[in-house]
Amino acid sequence: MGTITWAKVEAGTALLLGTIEGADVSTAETNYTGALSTSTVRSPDFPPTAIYDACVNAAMEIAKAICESDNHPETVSFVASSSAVSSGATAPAASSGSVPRIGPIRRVKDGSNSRTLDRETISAVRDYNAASATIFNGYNAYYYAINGDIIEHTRTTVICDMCCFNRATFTGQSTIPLNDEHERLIIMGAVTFLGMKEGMYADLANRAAREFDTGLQIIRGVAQNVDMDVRAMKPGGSL
Amino acid sequence: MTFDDFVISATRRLNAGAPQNGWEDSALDIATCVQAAIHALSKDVMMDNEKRGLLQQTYSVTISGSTGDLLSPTGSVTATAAEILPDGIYYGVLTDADGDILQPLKTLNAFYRPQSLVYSYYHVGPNMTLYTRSKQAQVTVPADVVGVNGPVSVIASYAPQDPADIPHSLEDDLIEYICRIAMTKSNEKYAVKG
Repeated sequence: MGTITWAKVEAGTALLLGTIEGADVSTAETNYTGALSTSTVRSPDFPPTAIYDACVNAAMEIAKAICESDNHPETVSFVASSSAVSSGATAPAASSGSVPRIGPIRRVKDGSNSRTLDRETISAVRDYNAASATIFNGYNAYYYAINGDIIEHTRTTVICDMCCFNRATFTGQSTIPLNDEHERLIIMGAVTFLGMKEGMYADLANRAAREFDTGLQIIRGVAQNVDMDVRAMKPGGSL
Repeated sequence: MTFDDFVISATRRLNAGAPQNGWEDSALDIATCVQAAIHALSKDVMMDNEKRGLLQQTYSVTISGSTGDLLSPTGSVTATAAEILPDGIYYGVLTDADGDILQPLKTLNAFYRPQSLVYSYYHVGPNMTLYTRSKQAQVTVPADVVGVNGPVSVIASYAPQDPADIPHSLEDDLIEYICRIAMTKSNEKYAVKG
């Protein structure tokens, strides 16, 4: 995770919105580098808590994009395991630590030996389970299927690995739950959310929204491009 | 080799050199062929004078009155019941507790008919019931039958329920049988007509 603090992205957001208090550059610099407060923010349109909330919301959007992408390098940071799930149970909506799931189930593994299960058709899973003591007695199938919000599988229990994320709790000097590269994107997101409040910020909000949306699209798509590049490099590989 | 090993071996052999065949996605279908392949292989081994001994084992059959149940006792090799092949009994030998070798009579009609008293006899009847007949008494009607002294030791061919009980020297044969059955199924389904 990153080294950038929440205080830094909040200050960056406040700066773009022109709400850092300071009659001279020295005071503005002090207020910019310090924690925002009602005495260091100028405009009643953007109270410090609202800026905090906007930054957290932007971070949530970025985290969601990462968790919904295919094999983004940062997804591993969000992966958590569910509790043991029996066949026919509801697909887990939270990790074993009760952190909400974001995005798809990425891996289903055996509850005892952690071997990865293959995704199969529901009929294959049900056929195996129906005849596991007869035709398939002694054969160890590692299959699962998702049927609506129900997961069916051929093991005693399975554990699902998936991206999980809680809404970040703002604490000024703590670090953001994302890599440092997302500092600007968080600011762009926060400016997008806050800039809509006042018509005079329309241009700023539009430009920030464009950069924010583009950034999210890149996050969602970058892994697929990397995967294609890697496959193209393999001898005999094809796109 | 375990059940899993046979399925993996058959899958990879079917797929060898032609991964586009997609057999790697057919593991469950191939697994359903294993029991059929074991029975086909076991039957062929039973008919093979050189290989027969690889799938023969001894069963100790309790005699009650004059009959016994061939499906109840467990085999001396696999320790599993009900694996015995009906025909496999005729390729083996039955010995009663007195050490007499029982001779087969393949019809119940012959079993209840007067026979030479040089031998004791047996017949495999409905639901794998072993009918025995001691050489001590002649038989003209069923009520005349005197059973042999049990238990009867039966050496017979069998089809293992567990693939892991297939002897090492037959493992490659079993993989071949699995592949053959799997391919027969797909050929019938996907055969190019005309």
